Amino acid sequence: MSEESIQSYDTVDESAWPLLQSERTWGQFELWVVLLVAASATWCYIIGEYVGYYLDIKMGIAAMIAGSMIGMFLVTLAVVPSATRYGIDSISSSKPQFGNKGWVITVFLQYTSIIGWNSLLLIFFGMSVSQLLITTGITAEGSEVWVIPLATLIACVGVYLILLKGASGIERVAKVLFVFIVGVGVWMIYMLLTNESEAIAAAKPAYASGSLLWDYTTGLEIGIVSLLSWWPYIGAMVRESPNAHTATLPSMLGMGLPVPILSIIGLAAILALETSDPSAWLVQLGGPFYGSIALLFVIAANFGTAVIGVYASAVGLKHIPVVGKWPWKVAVLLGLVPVAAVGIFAADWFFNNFGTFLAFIGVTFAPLVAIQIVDYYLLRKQRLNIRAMYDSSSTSEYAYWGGFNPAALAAMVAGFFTYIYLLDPLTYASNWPYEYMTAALPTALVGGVVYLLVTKFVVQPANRGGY
Amino acid sequence: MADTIFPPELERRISELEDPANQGDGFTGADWIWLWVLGVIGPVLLLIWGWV
Repeated sequence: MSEESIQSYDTVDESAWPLLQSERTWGQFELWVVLLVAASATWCYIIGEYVGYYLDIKMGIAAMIAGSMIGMFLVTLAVVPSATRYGIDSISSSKPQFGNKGWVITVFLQYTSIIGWNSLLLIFFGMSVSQLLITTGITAEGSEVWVIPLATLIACVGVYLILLKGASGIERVAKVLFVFIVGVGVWMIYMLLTNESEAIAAAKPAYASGSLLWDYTTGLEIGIVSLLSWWPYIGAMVRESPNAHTATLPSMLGMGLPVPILSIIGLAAILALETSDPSAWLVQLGGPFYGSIALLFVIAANFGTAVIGVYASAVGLKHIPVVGKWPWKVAVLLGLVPVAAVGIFAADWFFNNFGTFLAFIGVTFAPLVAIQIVDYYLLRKQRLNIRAMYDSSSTSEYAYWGGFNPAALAAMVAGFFTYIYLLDPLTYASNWPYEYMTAALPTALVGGVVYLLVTKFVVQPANRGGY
Repeated sequence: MADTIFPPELERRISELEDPANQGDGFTGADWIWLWVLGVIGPVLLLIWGWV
């Protein structure tokens, strides 16, 4: 009997099982709202900060938006068609390529990346709550030591309670936060650009390499890899919509564009004020009243995104047989506990290694999206075997060899070494032709080509994979 | 594969989704245009604007 036979859930959107057409009720508006709320969070400020290390405001805006839209394009092509055709999440969509056991690799990638992003969000959440309490006179300077960990813990409890309602809880929270996030976000950009326009225009990036091309490419690279990290999130959301058409524009404009737009805040802030942390400059720039509103924005935006991130990781974890047996609330806890631990005990360490975390995303998700694109469009002609996806037996079409597809493994390894050669994730030292091509795009290209070749010359001749 | 037994609810879902009529449609022609404009052409134009 299949491992999925023992999956436990209260409603189907709390499981990893496919959603039927009749259950996929989110239209374009619902998707716009949820995806925009998912994308709009404080990570934008730190993304903008990293770009601001290398580029001025004009080149930074161009590189961030271009990179983000390229990254979103790749993620959309990789996940949206299969997720909306069969009502499946990102993990299920990777089973045809990685095998009916090899998909654990993608669960690991999803789990790790979402924990990383959520940790960042809840650290910012705690810092903003602390700053808000100080600004409003509720607590005194120095209270950060206990307010930040306590706020992080309370946020985790709030996320947990909302997710007990599954995807319906997400939709309700997103609709509440939507107007607030959009309105205050635009106002913050306006305030920063008008009040500090001269300082922003005159500012020079602090860590410019001396090669404008290298700096420009690095800004583009940061944009691409930041958006590649939407891979784990997007499947669980778009599977709630009935077809790819419904999800196309919400994906590209609702999830792809808000990140670079809000990142302008971090870019402008690091250039003009030498800090991207909004909790550090919002009160100074806007005064106590407007500063408090902006801090509430940060708190709300981060909370909404954390809810969606934990939901996506919990759905992914339900694929694992032992987790599938456990109640939904336990899967949610598995997504939350590491986040709380990092947010409370290792916040500084995580902040200091954010660049390495971004590179990890590029190393892993660039070949992953390429593998899915090549497989879905070139090899399988946009048709998957939904039965084989949920069949964990050795006779499944997606069993390959022992449940693993060597083509996907080879492509991931080739992509890994390509990325490491082009851009060292630890030192950001690069090799030719990084400055002309970025690291993520050649990595995706190599991963896709290796997958295609191994499939054509090894997998298909052995009559494996259901091709 | 044929001898794998799924729980009834999962079997019902899979059987329904195996019928192409019950599957979601892929990208339309207009979707592809949007994807290429927003994901490739637009970024290239932006990069040129940022560089000059």
